[in-house]
Amino acid sequence: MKLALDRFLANVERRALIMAELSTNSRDDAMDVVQEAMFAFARKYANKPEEEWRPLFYRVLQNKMRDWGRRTKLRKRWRIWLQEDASDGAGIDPIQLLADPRGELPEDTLDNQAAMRRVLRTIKTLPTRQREALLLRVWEGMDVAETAKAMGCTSGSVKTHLFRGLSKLRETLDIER
Amino acid sequence: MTHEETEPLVTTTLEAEVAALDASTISRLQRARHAAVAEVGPRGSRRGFLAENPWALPIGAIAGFAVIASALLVVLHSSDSIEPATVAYDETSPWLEIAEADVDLDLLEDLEFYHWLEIAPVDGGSS
Repeated sequence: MKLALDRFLANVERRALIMAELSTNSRDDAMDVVQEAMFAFARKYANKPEEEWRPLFYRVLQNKMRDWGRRTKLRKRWRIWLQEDASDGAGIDPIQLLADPRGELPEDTLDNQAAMRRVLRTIKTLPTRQREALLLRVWEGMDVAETAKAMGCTSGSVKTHLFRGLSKLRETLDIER
Repeated sequence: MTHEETEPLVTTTLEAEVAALDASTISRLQRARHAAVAEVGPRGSRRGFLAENPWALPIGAIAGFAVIASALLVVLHSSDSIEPATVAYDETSPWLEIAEADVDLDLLEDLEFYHWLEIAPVDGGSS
């Protein structure tokens, strides 16, 4: 079972990290979130049938991201209350935290890079549920039922969130073109 | 741009992000994964008992109900057989004598006064 679990986690860990990073805007925070999700998943769900692992793992990941969001909000409140410098990290352009572009870039690649950055920036601005639906359905390739299980909502809600997310993404990309 | 055009753009962008992950990040992910997998040890197998024996939970629940029902039956049965409480009957009690005698109840209520009246010295109303 350990081998299967290792294989499964190896398969999802990088995408999970990128998803967490889109929510947290921080590589380190994203790493913490993914690590917590892996531990929680291994402890609670390793004995479940393997075909159930994927939605369950992403459910755990979404919960950990929400926990992170709550903790961050609370920390911000305390900082404001203690009149500390609340601007730590707030002024950093999230794009600067993304991985560096690789290799030499011809002009057309530069255009692609710019488009990708626009996509990333827009995905980050989507409401949480829309982003979750988009990432799980479109990127992770989960079907509606699996996505609903991972998000803890109905299939209808998944479709609604996905449609709205894609529409907003499309609109933003059309405007910025 | 349609939804159908947007989806591949999303996938391409995010896959590029995954491919751009540096070696240090990948190494940290691997270490985290190995630590998580190592967590699944004896605890995992213990937790697996119910997963591997799904019959254990309903059987356990039925057994629990049976024990509770038996206990209730025993308690109810034993409470039926309890005899009504009996009051100790003391034939020498003065109260019994009073209760049986035809005594004015007002007198009983002011018993203390009458007792005082009986023992108080009679001075012929001179005070």
